[in-house]
Formats: sequence, C-alpha cells, structure tokens
Amino acid sequence: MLLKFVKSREFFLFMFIVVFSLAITVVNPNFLTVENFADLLKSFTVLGIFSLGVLIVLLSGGFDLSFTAIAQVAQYVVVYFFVEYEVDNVFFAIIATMVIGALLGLVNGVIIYYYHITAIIVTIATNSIYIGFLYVITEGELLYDIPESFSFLSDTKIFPMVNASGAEVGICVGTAFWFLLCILVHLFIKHTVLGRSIVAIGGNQLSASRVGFNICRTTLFIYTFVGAMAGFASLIQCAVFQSVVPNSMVGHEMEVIAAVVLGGASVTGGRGTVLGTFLGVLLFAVLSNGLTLMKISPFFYQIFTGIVILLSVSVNALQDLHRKHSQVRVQVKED
Amino acid sequence: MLLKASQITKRYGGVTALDHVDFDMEKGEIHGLAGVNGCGKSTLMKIIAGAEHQTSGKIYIDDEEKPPYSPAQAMKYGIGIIYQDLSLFPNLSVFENIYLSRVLASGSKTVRSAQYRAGVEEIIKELGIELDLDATLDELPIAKQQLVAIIRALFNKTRLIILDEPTTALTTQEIEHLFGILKTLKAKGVSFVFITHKLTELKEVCDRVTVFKDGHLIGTYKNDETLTIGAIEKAMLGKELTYKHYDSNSNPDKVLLEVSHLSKKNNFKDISLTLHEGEVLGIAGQLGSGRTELAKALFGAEPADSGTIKVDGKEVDCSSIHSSVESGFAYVPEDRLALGLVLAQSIRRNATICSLKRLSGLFGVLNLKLYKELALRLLDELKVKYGLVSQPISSLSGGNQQKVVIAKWLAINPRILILDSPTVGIDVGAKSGIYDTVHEKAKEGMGFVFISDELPELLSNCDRIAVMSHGRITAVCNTSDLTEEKLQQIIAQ
Repeated sequence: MLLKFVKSREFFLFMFIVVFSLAITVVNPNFLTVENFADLLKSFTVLGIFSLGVLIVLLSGGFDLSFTAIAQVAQYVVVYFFVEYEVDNVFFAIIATMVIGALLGLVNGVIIYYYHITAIIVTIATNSIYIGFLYVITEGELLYDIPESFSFLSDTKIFPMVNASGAEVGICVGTAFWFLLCILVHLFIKHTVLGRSIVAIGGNQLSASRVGFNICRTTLFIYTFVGAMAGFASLIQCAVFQSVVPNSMVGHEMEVIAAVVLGGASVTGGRGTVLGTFLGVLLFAVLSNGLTLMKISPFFYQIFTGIVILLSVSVNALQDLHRKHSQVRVQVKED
Repeated sequence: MLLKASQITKRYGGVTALDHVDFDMEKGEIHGLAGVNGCGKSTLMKIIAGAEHQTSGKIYIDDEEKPPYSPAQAMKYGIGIIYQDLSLFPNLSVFENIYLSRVLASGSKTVRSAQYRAGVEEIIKELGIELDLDATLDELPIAKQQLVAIIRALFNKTRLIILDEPTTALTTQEIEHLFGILKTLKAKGVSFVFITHKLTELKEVCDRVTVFKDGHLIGTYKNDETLTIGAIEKAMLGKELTYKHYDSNSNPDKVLLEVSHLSKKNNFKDISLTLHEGEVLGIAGQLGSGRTELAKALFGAEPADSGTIKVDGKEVDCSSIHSSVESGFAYVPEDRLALGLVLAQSIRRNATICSLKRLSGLFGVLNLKLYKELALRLLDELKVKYGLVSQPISSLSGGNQQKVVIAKWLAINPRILILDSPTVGIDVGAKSGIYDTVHEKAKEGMGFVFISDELPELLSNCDRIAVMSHGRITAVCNTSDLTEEKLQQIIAQ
C-alpha cells in the first residue's frame, strides 16, 4: 500500500513541490510566508476550479475546450445585469453564473451525445460561437463597475491573521470555496453511483452501457458540470481582477488541461484524481510564484511548466514500457 | 427446464439471421455451440441475453413465457453473457468490477462497497482460486480477467452464463483451469453456454452440443462416445472437408530462410530452423508455446533480442516491420479482423494496401489505372467472391476476407509468407482455395511458414512440421513420417 503510494503520481508531484519550494526559500525566504502562500493560492483559484470541471470531463474520456468561453459569457452577463438592475448580492451571482455556465455546457453535452460528434470538435466550435457572440453583442467593451459584494470572494479572509506590518492576511473565501469543491468532487467521484459511472465510462464505454449505466444522463451531466464550474470560476476571476474583460480567460484552456494532465489524469479517460489535479495546479502556482521571487523572467514559466509535464509523464511511460517488456507471454523452458 | 427458446426467428431487413430455431438449457449443464462465423449462434445468444429481440418466437424461463426483455431484465432472470472482450473496466479495481453492476441494480445513489466484500470473497473461496481484489484490473493477465468476469456473473446470481469464445486468448493450462472451474460450478447447478471454434474443447467439456449453419439449427447432440469431431464438423460445414495431398515443391538445394539461435526474453528461446525454396514449413504447438511470438519476431512486429536471420544466405534486419518486409517477409496474422484488415475501407483499398508505393509515380501520386487493375487481378487470382470492389471489406464472408488479406501480401511477391492460423472460422470452400493458393505460390519458389492448431491441415499442406513447446522447438519432422496420432503425441510431450 505504502509502496503503491510512493510510486504514484501524487507522491511525485508532492516531492517536486517540496523540493522546489525549498529551493525557492533558500533564494528568497519571503516565499514561505502565509501572505505569499495565500496570494499564490488566490491567483490560482480560478485555474483550480476550472481544473475540477476538466478533471471530470477527462475522467469520462471526453474533452472540453469551450469552458473558458462559457466562463466569459457567464461572467459578462451576470456582471452586466447585476449592475444594470442594481442587484448587489454575491450569492445570487454565484447561482446565476453557475446556471448560465451549466446551460451552455448542457448544449455541448446534447450535441456530443445525440450527434455522436467528437467532443473536442464540438467544443472548439462552441468555444468560437460563445465567445463570438459575446464580442459581437458587447463590441468588446470592458466592465469596471463590479458589484461591491463580489469582493467577498476575493478580499474576505477566513481565519484572518495579522502580519508584521499590521495588514490582515489569510486564505480568501474564493480559495476556501476551491478547497471545499475539491473535497466535494472527491467524495462525488469516489462514493456516488454517478461519479463511479463517469469513471467506468472513461474506462470502457461499451462495457458501461452493457452493465446498464445510463450513458446519456452521465454525458449530459459531465458537460453541464464543466459549465457550472466555469461559471463559478469566472465570478471569482472578476472579483479578483475587479473588472470584466471579454477575452481575459479564453486562450488559457490549455494551461488548465495541462495542470490536470500533470496531476495524472489520462486524456484517454478513466484515470485521474482530485488530489493529483490539486497538486498539478499547486505545482504550477509554486513554479510561477517561485520564478518571480527568484527574479527569473516570467517568460521562463512556460518553458518550466512544459518540462515538468514531460518529466512527469515520462516517469509513467517508462514504468509502462518496463512492465510491457517484462511481461511473460510464454513460459520459456530454461536449460 | 431452465430456459427454452421456441421457433425463434430473427430478421435484419431482408436478411434472415435465425430461422425457426429451437433451443433449450437444463439446470447444471454445459451446452456447446458450434458453427462458422455468421451462422446465427451469436444472434441467438444475444436474444437470450436480452441484447437483441427476436422477430418471432417465444422464450420460456423456468417454464414461464417471457416477453422480449432487456439485458438488465435478463440479469434479474439470472441470465448473463460474457462477451469475448469481457466487458470489464480496465481502470477499476478487481473488486469494483465485480460489485459495480450489483450497485446499479440496487438503485442506490451512493456506493458502499464494504457490504459486498464478504460475498465476493466467499465466491472466490468456493472456486478455490487466488485473486487480489484490490489490484487494478489491467494489471492482471487475461485469464484472470476472465475469472473476474465469471465471478461478477456469479455475484449477480447468474444461473445461466453464456461464454462467447472464452478460450481464444488462453494458454492450454489456463484453458484446463477454466474447464475445472466450469465443472465445479456445473456441479453447483450453474449452467453454461459455451461458444468456441475449437471442436476438441466441445468434446472435452460439454454435455450437449448444438450446431448452427446459415441461420438454421442443424441439430443438438448428446456428447457421448458416438459424437465425433468429424461429425460436428460435417454438421457445421454441410460437407466433410477432405484434405488433398499436395506434391512437394521444396527445393532441398536452396535454403531460403535460415534462423539461428533466435531468442526473445519471455517469448521464445534458441530457435533455429531452415526453410527451403518452395517449401511449406508447418509450426505446431499449443497456444502459449511461442509460435505466434516467433512469427511476430520474424515479421519485425516484436523483434527478437538476439540471434540471426538469413534470407538467401544473407543476414537480414528484422528489427521493424518495415525492414522485415524489405527483407522479403509477409505475415497473415491470427486475428484478421483486428490486425489484418481495415474493416471500414473498401475491398479494393484493402487488397492494394501493401502495394501503394509500387503503384505511385512522381511525388507519390497514385496511378489510378494500375491501382484498379491490380485490385481486379488480385481478387481474380484468389477467386474472391464479391459484389463491388468499392464495398467495405466487412461486407465479405470470413473466408473471402481472409483471401483478401493473403492477396494484399502476394501483390508484393514476398519471399516468405507467414500464415498464422489462416483458416480459423472460415468455410470449406475458402479453406481449400487458400490451400491451393499456397501450393501455387510454392511452385513459384515462395516459402511458407504455416502455423495452425488443426493437425490434418498441417499434415496435408506441409513438407515438414516443427513442434514448439514452452518457447522452444522440440522436434522437426518430415510430414511423410507422421500420422495425426503421432504428431499429437509429440505436441503433448
């Protein structure tokens, strides 16, 4: 059991994060402070919540490239109307962004299931359509007038602490939501029939339908879920940046998918854990923040993330190759 | 009576897949089904398992008539089917694979697996096998995975388990083990339908054998001393296959292929053999003896670790399929559907797939005229029966498909053609057509390595037969010195 864990992707990532953190701390001791860690987590909360949706879709053997466009639409619509009608309630806003996201995701799911079109193609198309409509209708106009209550997500701290200079530091509510969602999604995947059906479909869809899983309902759920997560993430994003920029998130899909894959999820489906995904995102966060603190040009960030992904998948690939090579096909009689 | 199917007919459009078939199952019986591909046996089993519905006819379970039902309903009746692909989940644990369908059937929204543990462990204990419930399924060898599928069926309280070609991917020991388990379960009152291409297995394990041909049920026979394999074969094929005697075309003065000390870890060891021009060299041996692995090594698909391969006296490189083909090898694989054909593509494209380089000119542009001519010539030469060359290859019968696989390689005139079980599951006409082609080409000097389970086939076609066991060649005999019994003895040693 212990050996299995030591060989796991999660352990590899964890060790990598520890080693890298120590290295950064040696160069810049400011790294290991509550303030810095809270900031680092806050700036990666949006990616973290996106990644939970992506994990679910990858687990099922599907794919989604439209979630950032969904996020942009949900964010714009909610902020625009909440300002227009002077509704200043963050909880309504959370529900509204998630519902809009869920509906747009459901559209993906319906097309993918009923027309049997590859998910990657469908979501490339809907990505263009969603974001295209947003540009056309808004003419690319930015929104700076964000309802005040939204800052609850980005500025309110749970368990606030006071640092040396008297400022309040700690984990913000948005980040706390991310952690909570991680736990909920983990429990959902592990202990509910719907969660297991997602994993089973990702392992072998034909087997799943023969055993009696409802493929239709599960597929629709998966894409709806990605949409809902995207909607929620978008609200935190606008709270953090205090603005709505129609193209602030599109184009970053690959970074999210990379983090999930780094966390051990398989793009062919059936494999992946919440812990791995969380560590994948955390590693990205530590890399990004660490390079800044070590005064290395942020341009190196992309190169580093690329190398880390290659390294971590190579470890698994080598294990597989070794296993394949040492597999006994024939009981060869020795002399 | 556990199950009785009466006057079952199934039509797909205008095609009749089953024509007024009667079939029944007793409690605690192993009932074998035989017939060539497309004879209707799988269709009947799908109807019994609820995956398809009959056009007409009635099904009685425990002497009670049941309207057409779904697979889930079939499970409630205690009927389960284990398809050839096993329908398991490679990414889940063994334990979860076993209990998952039970959770679904219970209608619960959450999974509480602990309650299933004792039940599953008890089944494993009853079967007297070892199984790591917490291992991920794809870590297990295929034989163990099959046991998982059976345990899953038992855990679902299945009384009638339909096994669709369960022995195809198993070694001899594994097959023996499986048969032992089937017999144990039979004694406890579980019934099995056992579908196989290997008639010896029917004889060994079944209580009754039912034979299908062209959608008709030819007969159900009690498996006693009076039932011979020849009789089953005759019922399957409509006529008895007579093996011709072919004159040898082997030229003993010219060594075409010389393999020395070829080894591959966990596959085969120290293989040395020669093949003369125009010779047909048979390879006999049980599944798991290393014969297919040797063929794959010669073809470069899974290259050997050490040893030399010489063609026409010159050492050649067989480290990849590309270089093996360049060296003059061609390979007709055992699993023609998965490895030999591109099923969705047309007959013509499949037939010419190996020759595209020869058919194209400047900048790799295909010469359509040559391409079309070659396809017609090949299909004609092998006497393939087809409608239009542009139809998908999947529209052909198994025998004609196999002829296309052979044709595509003959098109590039290989020096050595390796045939791995080339006649499994195909009809008599196509079989003798393939034998004739082999000997025509041998006359032209082509060498053949002919792997087969069917000893009469080897004895009729080969000049010499090498016997493999445990990854080694244990004997090489001249066919003229052999009889079927003698060969059987050598293989069993």
